[in-house]
Amino acid sequence: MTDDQAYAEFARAEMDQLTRVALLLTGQQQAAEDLVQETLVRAYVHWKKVARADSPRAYVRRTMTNAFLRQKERDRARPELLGSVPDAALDGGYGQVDARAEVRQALLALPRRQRTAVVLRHYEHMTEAETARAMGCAVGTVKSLTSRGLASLRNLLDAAPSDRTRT
Amino acid sequence: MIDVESALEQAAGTARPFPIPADRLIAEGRRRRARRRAVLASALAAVVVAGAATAAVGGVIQGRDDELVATAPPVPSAAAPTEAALVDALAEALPEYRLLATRQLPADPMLEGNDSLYSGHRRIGGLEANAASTQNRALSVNWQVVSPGLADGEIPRIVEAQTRTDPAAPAVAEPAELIFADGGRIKTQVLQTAVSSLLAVSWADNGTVVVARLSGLPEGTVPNGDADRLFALAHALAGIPLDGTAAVDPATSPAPAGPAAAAAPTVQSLEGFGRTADTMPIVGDPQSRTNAEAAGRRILDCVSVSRAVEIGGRDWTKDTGPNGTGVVRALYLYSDPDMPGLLHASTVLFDWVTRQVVSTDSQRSARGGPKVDPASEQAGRVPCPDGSGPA
Repeated sequence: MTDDQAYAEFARAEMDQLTRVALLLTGQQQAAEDLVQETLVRAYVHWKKVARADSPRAYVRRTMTNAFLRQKERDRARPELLGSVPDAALDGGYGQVDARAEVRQALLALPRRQRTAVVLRHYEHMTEAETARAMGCAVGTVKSLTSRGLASLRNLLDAAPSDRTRT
Repeated sequence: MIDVESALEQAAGTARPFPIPADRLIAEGRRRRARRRAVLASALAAVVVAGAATAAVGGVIQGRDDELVATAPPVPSAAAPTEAALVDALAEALPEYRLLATRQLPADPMLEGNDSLYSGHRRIGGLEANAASTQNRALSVNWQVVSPGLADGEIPRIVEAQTRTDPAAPAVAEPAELIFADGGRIKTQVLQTAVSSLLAVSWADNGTVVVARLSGLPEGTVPNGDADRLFALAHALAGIPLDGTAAVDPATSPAPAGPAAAAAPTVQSLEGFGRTADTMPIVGDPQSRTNAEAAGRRILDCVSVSRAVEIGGRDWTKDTGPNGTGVVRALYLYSDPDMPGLLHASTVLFDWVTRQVVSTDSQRSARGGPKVDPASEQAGRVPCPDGSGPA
């Protein structure tokens, strides 16, 4: 298998999941696709390193996290708003769509690093150590960011009840 | 209580499939690679041009015996690219690289006011000094590359690199590519950004770029060895993992000719020779070692890494030492608390059989290394380190 073939196989296997993560991070489908494209192109440019990594999957998540967090300054002027028109055609009823929109809206209300920590820990199910590596920070920082992020997220969602899953 | 994980799962589920096929990602990746190379080349070329311009205004070059002295007027700041400009250019060219550090070496007080120490070297400024001294031949350089993780006394792997100056752009050396036994490679470019400063840029496969800057040199006098020093710093900062084995490959060292061939030491025979600070038989002046240590520079090791190529306009690979014996070049490694991870390398040319320092390579003094009494040196003899007198 050539490098290109290996890369293509890897990219196809990861691109949709990366897009889901990116959607949670960015709140917008277009922005998520941009982020995933940037991530996967970088992965191609450095494919030899990616392929040699202990976990190529973790490597590209770190790449995407870095790319996302570094967008901050560049994108400051860009409005970061949830798409105002939810895609009702995906599945489920309007109540579910509203609920998903609320979750994404609530995520966007979190500071980027808190949002990133919450998504990596509670959507990607990465450990605290893995999340710390991906974010380039200490485990303690991850704990703090996640704790604060979750608290904020719960407050926001509790304030806007819909038919979300509850425990 | 909201089940966050379920909520995130649902929200993420609204993502549409990623629409760009892998082959388009590959095409974009290839374009990105090509653009990166082009921008880097452009950035370096800009520095080269500026460096050449700097050299052009460098003033009068005078010949005196076998040395050249450049008397350089102050360099207009506009003529010299700044370190920040280069860093910016690199960041633009290599966005995915991690710029580890830029570091300005402290001015070496030994360089100040000691111009006379460099007699015997041709010097014009920057790397042109190397070019002149090597008569535009490829100069075989043995780099001492140091990993901060190395234990005290552990000898870094010595790699062989070929570099040569470009006659068309004497202010810059062609990139030297260092190849490690584990397959890792580092490329390094030394740039002269002003008459009195050098910049070393190293980039490695591990995604690191390091810019090291040496400034405060006496104008027009950039002695041989400073490029090595910059390289060493850059690579030390890069933290290239190295093991602690081996020395230079004898096969890549120039073979001595004539009587020297029989007497010339092999790398293996040099192993164990002067390996510790307490037994450095080829150090000319023990007091200098004491001074160096008093200054906080602890001598870690002494390794002889190659036979001399040329110094003082004399090609020692074609000639022999003053007593018909082989000549070796020894690098003395020093630690420096101001520059953790960096070992200073001092060069001494040494007659293997007579144990005389035959070189006029006084730059070792500027490196904080062993000094040779001028009278003894003139006579071609230096005291033995044990104080027993000239060999």
